[in-house]
Order: sequence, then structure tokens, then C-alpha cells
Amino acid sequence: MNMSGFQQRVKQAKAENLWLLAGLALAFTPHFLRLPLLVMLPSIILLCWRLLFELRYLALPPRTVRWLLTLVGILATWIAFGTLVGRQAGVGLLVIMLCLKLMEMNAQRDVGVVIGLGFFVVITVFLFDQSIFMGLYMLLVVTLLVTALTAFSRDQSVIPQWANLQKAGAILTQALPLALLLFFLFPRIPGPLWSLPADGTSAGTGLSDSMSPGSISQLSDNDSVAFRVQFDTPLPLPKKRYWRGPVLTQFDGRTWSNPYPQRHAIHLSMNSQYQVSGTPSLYTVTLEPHQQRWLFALDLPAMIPPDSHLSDDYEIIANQPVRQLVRYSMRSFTDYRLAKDDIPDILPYLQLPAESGIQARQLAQQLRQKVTDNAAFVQTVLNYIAEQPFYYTRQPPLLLNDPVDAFLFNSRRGFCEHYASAFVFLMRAAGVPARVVTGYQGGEMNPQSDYFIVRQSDAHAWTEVWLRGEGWRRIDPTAVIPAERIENQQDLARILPEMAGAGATPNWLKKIGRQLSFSWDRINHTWNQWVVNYNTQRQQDFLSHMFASAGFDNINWQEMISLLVAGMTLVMAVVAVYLLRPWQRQNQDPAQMAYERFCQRLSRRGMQRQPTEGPLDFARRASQQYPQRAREINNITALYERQRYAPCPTQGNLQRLQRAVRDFIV
Amino acid sequence: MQNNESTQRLDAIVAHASQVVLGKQHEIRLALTCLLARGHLLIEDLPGVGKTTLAHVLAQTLGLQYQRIQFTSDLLPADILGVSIFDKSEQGFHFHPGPVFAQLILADEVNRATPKAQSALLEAMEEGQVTIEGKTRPLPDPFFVIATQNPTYQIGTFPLPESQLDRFLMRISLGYPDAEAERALLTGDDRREILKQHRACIQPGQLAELQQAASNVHVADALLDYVQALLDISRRSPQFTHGLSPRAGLALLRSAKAWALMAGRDHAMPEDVQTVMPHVVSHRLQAVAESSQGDKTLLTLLQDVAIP
Amino acid sequence: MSHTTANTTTPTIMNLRHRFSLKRFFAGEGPEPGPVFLAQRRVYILPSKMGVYFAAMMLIMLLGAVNYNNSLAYALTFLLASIFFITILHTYRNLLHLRVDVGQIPPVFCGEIAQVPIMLDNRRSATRYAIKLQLRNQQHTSVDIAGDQWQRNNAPLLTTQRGRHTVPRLTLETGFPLGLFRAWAYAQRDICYLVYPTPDQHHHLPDESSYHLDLQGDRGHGADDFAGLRNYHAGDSLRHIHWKTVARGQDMFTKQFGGDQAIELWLDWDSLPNLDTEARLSRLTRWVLDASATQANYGLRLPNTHIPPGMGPAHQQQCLRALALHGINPDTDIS
Repeated sequence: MNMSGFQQRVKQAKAENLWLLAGLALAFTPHFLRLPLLVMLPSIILLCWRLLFELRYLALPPRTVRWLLTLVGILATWIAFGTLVGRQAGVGLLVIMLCLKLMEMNAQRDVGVVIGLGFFVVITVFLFDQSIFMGLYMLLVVTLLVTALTAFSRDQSVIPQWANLQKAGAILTQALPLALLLFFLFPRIPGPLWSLPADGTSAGTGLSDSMSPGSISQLSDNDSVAFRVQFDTPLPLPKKRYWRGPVLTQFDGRTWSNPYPQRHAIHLSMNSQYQVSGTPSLYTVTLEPHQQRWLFALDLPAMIPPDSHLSDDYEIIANQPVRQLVRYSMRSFTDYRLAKDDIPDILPYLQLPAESGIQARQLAQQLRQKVTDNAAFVQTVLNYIAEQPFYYTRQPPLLLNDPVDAFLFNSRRGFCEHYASAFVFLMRAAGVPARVVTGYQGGEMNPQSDYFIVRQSDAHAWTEVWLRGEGWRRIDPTAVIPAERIENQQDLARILPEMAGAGATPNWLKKIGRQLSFSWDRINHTWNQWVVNYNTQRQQDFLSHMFASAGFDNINWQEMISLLVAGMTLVMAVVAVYLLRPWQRQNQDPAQMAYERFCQRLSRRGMQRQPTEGPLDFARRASQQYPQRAREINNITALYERQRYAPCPTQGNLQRLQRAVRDFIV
Repeated sequence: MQNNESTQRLDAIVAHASQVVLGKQHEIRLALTCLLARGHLLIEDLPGVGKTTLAHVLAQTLGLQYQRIQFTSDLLPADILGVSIFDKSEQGFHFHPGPVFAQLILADEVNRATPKAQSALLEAMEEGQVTIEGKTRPLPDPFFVIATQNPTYQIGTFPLPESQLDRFLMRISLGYPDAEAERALLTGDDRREILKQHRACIQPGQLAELQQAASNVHVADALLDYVQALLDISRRSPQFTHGLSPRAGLALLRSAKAWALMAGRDHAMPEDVQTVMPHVVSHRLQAVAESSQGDKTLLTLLQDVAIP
Repeated sequence: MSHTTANTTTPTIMNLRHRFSLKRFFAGEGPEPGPVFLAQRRVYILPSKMGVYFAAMMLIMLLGAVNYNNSLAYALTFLLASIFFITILHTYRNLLHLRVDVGQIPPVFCGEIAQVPIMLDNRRSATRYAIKLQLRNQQHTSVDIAGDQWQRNNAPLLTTQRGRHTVPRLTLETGFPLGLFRAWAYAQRDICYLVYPTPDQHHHLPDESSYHLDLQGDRGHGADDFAGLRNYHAGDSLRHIHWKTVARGQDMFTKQFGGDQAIELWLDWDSLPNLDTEARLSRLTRWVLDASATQANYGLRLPNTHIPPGMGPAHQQQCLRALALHGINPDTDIS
């Protein structure tokens, strides 16, 4: 391929179509990475086809081929997703249809349609990812699409392409303040307006609704943020930072799960089984989407966020899976008593699989017989773990058959899920009601800001044991492992919070790395607070706070609209003034300025100087009109003439002129 | 020479000439302006309105040597410039200077002559000298040509080409006299008799001083801006096939300076430019379409430019 | 009370009424004597068809954003809406404060396309792009005007009727930069142009009977052809002396030149009795052109006009003008 020939082709191609194709390709890229190849491959081929057509290497397919391609596209989507509705399938269909539209984009109207659809593709990208990076990336896509629109509106005239880009850039820059106003002031309507089609297959990171060996340890290296917390009250003590998540009661020998996720919702206020003491912790959680329904709260939650309910295991269950960042205010009591006197249905907490853990059952029997009550039994089991050579490790050996026995008597190396699982098994085997609680433990403060970060690596499993007269007591069997049997320094700090920072050697490179990661997290947090999670409630709070001094205590949507209109008018006026630049005038001679003042004064009396009228002519006319002022008029004119037209104008003369004009009052 | 002295002298000249050419003071002033600006004058008007008289009286009041050439279709360049004739008594060629060797020439009905004859005169005007048979002969100083031309198109006439019209600093027309002047003209003495009694108003050499004074008139930046704006708009306006040339700009400025001197100022004003402008540019601009509006188009030129 | 207020409209109210009149909106200001300056009150702006679609698209996007509670979808929708609003200013500015003048048009023959010179003067440092020029009911052209520049463009004008017409209203229109809005302004100058009748296809000049031969022939008054010798008179040009005879010792003769012999051709309205008015004018136009091409000395006779024989471009123009304006009061426009 001859290079200059290629450049020639680029030069001769329709500029708006090239900009459009570039914009579309960039808009599709996130989808290409996310959706199945079966759906995306036809789109890539069609996009390339159009590009080759623009460069005049290929012709467009005839109508029959286009119909065929349409059918293939729909079929591919259907095969890939098994449906044509839903978020993923819908996006696949939109992308395919848009690419097919490219095959018949001839008329002016079609270009407009395709550019419009391009903006829709950008929106669909946001359905999957609302990160700060994606936001900036899509700004680039929008710039390209607007440039395409600019090139498109050029009609027949030929304009350098940089001018198109420049124009689009200028428009975007000027539009940004307006967009900000709209974003913050436009009244947010709480959605959804209609129910969204369910989307089963999308998997999120984080805790799942079941626990088997390895399911939590696989998260131990995952540094992504699970949720962030802003405390309004002092931080709870490190040993009380248990973030309660799914509670698992049923065990099949390998996996813990919850067979009745929504047994029945309970109401805190009506529950006599629930007793709290001490001061509550007040805080706000910003939860990253994890595609499951539970919300996390400090153990034990004392309120229920909107659009959710509490299960009788004290899990907070949202009405919809958390597909987007959610933000909720919470209140928790870290000192509590639960079901002190009785539990209505004890059987699920004693369930054990029939043919597993034979050795463990025996061990439980032995240990139980040594002590008198259940509380002592709990302590005995904990002592057993502490004394026997149990290790805490991130890479536990794979346990194939009967994992409880294999762990307790063979490997003795495990992560929290192993200990929690084994502990609950031993409890139940001895007739003590117990359950596994998963969630997060610990977290850290962002030293550069005022919020608390809980990461996926903080995922944890612990247990609750029911003791008569005391109720459910939280027992964390991993916490009893001595420090020398913990393999990882970080885990040491986590499991034994009192020892945090003790063994940390300050390495400056690591320190900077940590600083940077905290900075980045703070940016992300701000982005989440102000952009991603800016919803009806947050808008209400923010605006009420902002305009509290102006008397808007509880701002309503009419007031928002008024503020919005006022703000937009102001911005538009500023942009209009900037665009038209009325101040751009040539510097004027002071003599001329004085003379113009003189003319203005006369014009107030209806004596208007024509712009083409010379000063002498005007003086003659004015003197006829005002004979009594003729002397002054002629004097001013003579001074002006001498200053502006005669050789050697002087400062003194200018001052005389200015004085004469000042004294000339009609 | 002081400026006001010059002005007095010029006023005297105008007053003098006005006694002969009645009711045409403005045109006399324009003609004099043209002369002060060292330019040549084209008068376009019907026969009998006093073109010849005007030229004659100017020559007389200024004490200039005067020649009239009647242009006809068979006029040859030699008839204007002169010819060398073999003189038998001296056994050599002897140059007989043509009528062009005079200080003020009236070229009557210049469009009747062939382009060849016309160009002989126009070249002399441009260069201030004539070359005959290889020998260059200077023309007298001052050298001032007043050409007249009948505006109506007739068979057998050769309208001056545009490029040559440019050689004339101004084009004016006299028009009919007003009623009062006409009456005086009808009842008064024969103009030719009055002309005979006329005396020059200035000494030889004083005209050169006056011309020098005119070129010394000050032009301020503000005025240059105005002239430039006028030139600019003429080039922008779609009413004309092409705009004013830089030479036209110079002509405009020279005329405005001379007019300012006539008005007794040592500096030119926008009004001076406005007064001389139609006469300086009308023959240099060609309207795209022949329009009945004529000079109105020119006036819009002035009306489109605000005085800076 | 209302009755009296209605009768005594103050000038301001009149101005306002004029300013917001629908007639201005649809028809413009009418012919004006000078160059047209597109001040604010003269530039109109409304969303284009594409702009309406764009707005509808934004509404759908907003619904989607609400439904999915997606903040970045909100942000994109609002960004597009802001672009929409900002484009109003850009499109308006693209036309605002432009100076427009319409030039004189040389006469054309009916059926030809006249090129109307349009002078556009951009006194702003920014380029104005994609401005569409269109004379009423005519083809359009699209132009760019660089910053601080003026330029002359031609707008095509198809002539359909002979006579003198005012140049029709010019519409300046622009959708730049995004095509979401359409800003437009009207400009009309009081400039007339002359349309000559369409020349007939019939090329034959009138037959012999209408020739009027000048029987006197060559009178030796021209300058083209040598026509003989005559005796020398004092005052004859030296150049015309026949030196050969002088050299032979004979009397002095002067050479005579001629060329003023010409056919006088009369193009007569009455010689075409079988045709209707327009056909006659058409035929006469053709004859004028042909006669001019053959350097004939021709005159024109119309019912109310009588142009004596002559030649040259001015004479031709005079004849064509008479034909164009035949039956039309030259002071009134028929457009």
C-alpha cells in the first residue's frame, strides 16, 4: 500500500464519517471487552467494512446481504444470551443494529441518526461501569461524536479538520458549566419508573450467599473496595469492627448456605428479644455494587435502610440486588443481646449432615463431657484450637473428602472459613445451637480523609453460638490462634487488631505506594459521593445545606428549577458575552473620546451627528440649531480639529478640549 | 509664503475668475484645486456651457501661456507634439513645437481623436516631457491640461480608455448656470471682451509657491485612516467592477490637501476629502451595471464609511 | 379606556409591534437602500428538524437515566442538553453582525442564470463557516468567510421574465456548528436588474425590403479605406499628402480615406405582424444581436420608441433596453 495514496484516501473521505467511526469504535471498546465474542465479532467486522468503504477500498453490501446480516446479528445475540431482552442482550442488539445502520448510511439523515445512536451506546456503557476512568473516557467519545456532528453540519464547505475539533472542544468546554448546574440542580426523580428486566448471569465480586473451603480465602488478595463508611460518632474499637453480612445455617458437609433467605422480615421496635446498651454508632455506608441483595452493617444493626428489610438472622436484605453504588445511613449498637431467653425455632441451628465429620463428632462429645455447661464448652473448643498446632494461612491445602475432619485432624492449616466451619460443626455436634456469620472484619481509615475503607480482602467468617440466658454470642475462632502461627504479617494485624502496626517496618517506597493508593481511593470516594451516588436524597441534603443561609431549609423541586433556570441564564449570558466580545474595540484617541462625549450630549437634545458627518459640517448644523451655543460648539470643534487633524497636537490643547466638553452642558 | 497669504491670493483668483464664468464658483475652485495639486482636469459636459471660457480665464488670471487644441478624428500625434521640417535655408531639420508646449492646454473634445492622438497627449501629461524623433524635450512648468469631452456616445468617437482616464486627477462637469447667472450672462458684455481686459492676479513663480503650499498641508493619522477606509470600502463594494487603486488614493489625498489650502487651513479635514472625493474617483470607478442612479452609487460609498 | 390606548400607539409600541411582527419573520424587511447589517433583531433562530430529534433523544436518555438511577447517564444527558443550549449561541453568532450587500447585475437575457454578486463582510476575527446563500426560490450556495475578511460570492438567479426587476430577497442561513439549530436572516437591496427578452433562434436578418441602402455611398470622410485623391488644400494634414506625385513634380494631392459607407438597417416592429408581442420582441432581440455582430448600422422601431441607426456597444444596449422595457413603465418594477 502506497503511503501517500493512503493519505490521499483519508483526505478524500468524508470527514464526518471518519470522526463518527472513530467515536463509535471507542464507544464500543468497553462492550467488546465485556460481551461475548459471538455478539461483538459481527459488529467489529461491520465497523471495519464501513471504514474500508470510506477509504474506497470496498463497496457496501447489497440490500439482501444487509437483511441477512441483520438476521445473523439477531440470531447471534439470541444464541449468546438466550434472550433478546435484558441489559446485556439489549446492549448487544443495539451495537449490532447500529453497525448494520452503518451499512446503509448514505443520506444526511442517516448520519444524524447514527450519531444519536452513538450517544445511546455511551449510555449503555455507563450501565455497567460508572468509574471515574470510564467517565473521562466517554468524555473523549462524546468529543469525537460532537466533532463528527460539527463536520457534518459543514454542508458543502471545506474546512480544516482541526477547526472541527477545535469548535467541538470549545462547545464542550462552554457546555460543561451548564452541565454541572443541570447535574446538581435538576430535580432528581427517584427511579425506577418501571420494573427492570432481571439480569441473572452477571457476577459480582465479594461475598457470595454460600461458604465452602476457599471461598473467602480467594478474596484475601483482592484489594478492591467493598464499601466505605463515614462515621458520625467515634470509631468503634478495632475488636468490635465486625460488618455483618449473610448468616449461614445449613451445612452439607462441605458448603454452608442459607436455605430460606427470606424467612420473614422482623421489626426491631416490636422485638422484645433485642436488647441494646451503650451509645450507638452512627455512620453512612457507601456500598459498591456486588450484585447480591444484602447490605452490610456494623454488628448489630439498629435500623433498617429504605427499600430493605431485616431477616430474623439480622441480615439486612435489599429489595433489589445491589447493581449500583448505594448509600445508606445506619445506626448500630456494638453492645447487644439477642434472643436472650429463647429462640423460636432451634432446629436449623443444630442441623448437621448425616455422614460426615465422624471424628469431629467424637471430639465434640469428648470435650463436652469434660465441662458442665455450654459456655465452658465454647471456651474448651477455643482452647483446643489455640493449643493444638493450627495455622492460619492464605493458601490452605485443598480438602477433598469430608473437609471438616480433614481440616481438624490432618491439615490443620486454614483460613477463617475453615475455622468457622469446624467450630460451628463442633458446637452443633455437642448440641449447642450455632451458626456461621460472614461479612467483613476491620477496615482502615483513609489517613488523607475522614472515611473508613473496607476492602474485599477484609472478608471474614465467624460464628455465633446461642447460650441460654445470654442469647447469641459472637465467637471468632480464628482470633484465638497465637501470633506465631499466623503466616502473613497483614493477617496478623487483622486478626489481632491490638498488634496492628507493631511489626510493620517503614519502607519509604511502600509508604509512598500506600499514600498514593489512599489518594486514589479518596478521589474515587469523592467521585462516588458526588457523582455516582448523587441521588434524590443526596441532592436534597446538599442543596438544603448549600442554600440554608438563603432561606431554603427544605428545598423543593420548584425551588430547584428556579435556581437552575437562574443559574443557566447567568452562564448563558456569560458565554454569550464571551462569544460576542462587545468590548473588543480599538483604542480610541482621548481627543476623539472627548468629542464623542460632546456629540452624545448634543444627541440627547435631538442633535444627532451622523457617523459620516465631518466635525465642521456638524458644527455648522449644530450652530444653526442652537445659535445661542454656537460659540461653545465652534470652540470645541476648533479644539478638536486642532488636536486631531492639525500638525503638532499638544497636551494643553487636549486638556482645554476636555474641559470645554466637561463644561458643555445642554 | 504664509498660509493665509496663499489663501487670500487664491480667493482673489477665484473672485477674478468668477467675474467671467458666472455662478460657477465651486467648479472654479475645483479646477484651481486640481491645478494646485499638479493634476490635470477632465471636464465632461455638453458644448456651450463655458468649458473653454473656464480654461481661458484660468490661464489668464494665473498668467499662464494658453493653447487650445481642437481634437478631431484626423488629428495626428504630430499635430499635438510638433514636427521637424527640413529648412532649405539652414540645410537642416528644424523643430516646430506643437501646441502641447504651453503652460495651460485646453484639449477640446478629446474623445473625437483617434486613440493614437489621444495617447500622444496623455503621455505628455503623464511624463511632463515629449520625445520626438528620438529627442526628449521638456514641457514647460507648470504644465496643466484641461481636457473636455462630450459625455454622449456618438458614432466616430473614441471614449478614453479607463487606464487613461486615470491620468486625470479630477473629472468635473459644469452644468447649466442657475437662473441669476444665466440672466447676468444674457444681459452682460461678451465674455471674450471681458477676457481681453483681464490681468493676471499673481506673479510668475507664485503659482509654484502655491503648489508647494498645497503639498505641505498636514495630513493627520486620523485622516489617513479615513482615506484608507474609503479605499477599502470601494474595493469591498460589489457595486464596482474593481476598487480604487493606490494611485487613486494618492490623488484623493493630494486633492484634499489642495482643497484644504483653498479653505485656508494648514491641515486637511474629512470634509475636504468628502468634497473632492466624487470628482476624484467618479472616473476611476466603473459601476458593474449601468445604473440610472449614477453618482448615487458614489455617494453610498461616502455614506458607508464612518469618520474614524 | 382600551379604545383610546389602541388609537394612540406610541412610537415605542410601534417599534415593538414591528419588531415582533410575523411579516418580518417570514418575509424580511423589504428592499433597503444601503448595505444590510445583520443586527440582533434581524437574525432569527429555531431548532432544525435534527435539533428536534436531538431533543427527543435527550428526553429518552433522561427517562433511561431516571429508570436505571444511573448518575453518569444523567451526566451525559445533561452534557448533551448543555451542548444543545450552547449551540444556540454559536449558531446565532455565526450569522450575527455580518454585513451583506448585493451588487449590481449586468443585464442578462431572459432564461439565463444571472450571477448576483453578494458581498459578505466579516468584521470579526473568527471565521464564519457554512453560510448558505439563497435568493428567493433559487438554488443555494454555501460559503465560508474567514475572519476580518470580506468576500464576494455569486448567488444564482434564474431569469424568467423580461423587464426590470428588483433582486429578490436573499436568505442567509446557517446550521453551523452542530446543525441542531437553524439561524437565518433576510437581506434585500433596492437593486434592479434588467432582463432582455430571450433572443429568438431564428437567425435571418430582415429581408431586403427593410434595408435602407445609403445610395450616396462613400463620401471620403472615414479613415479606413483609401478612396482616391483630391487637390491639396492648405491645412490638410501632412501625413495625407500623396508624396509620390510630389516627387514626380506634379501638383500636391491629398489622399482621401473612406469607410463611412454603410447599410442602414431598420429593425421594425411592424415588419412582424404575425407574431405576438413577446415573440416579436424575441425576434427583434435576435436581430439586434445579429446586426451588431455584422457591424451593421441599425435602428430600431417600436410602437412608442424610435432609436435612430447607430452602432457600437452603447447603441446595442440602448436597443436591448428598449426591447426589455417595451410595454413596461420604466419607473415601476414588475417583480
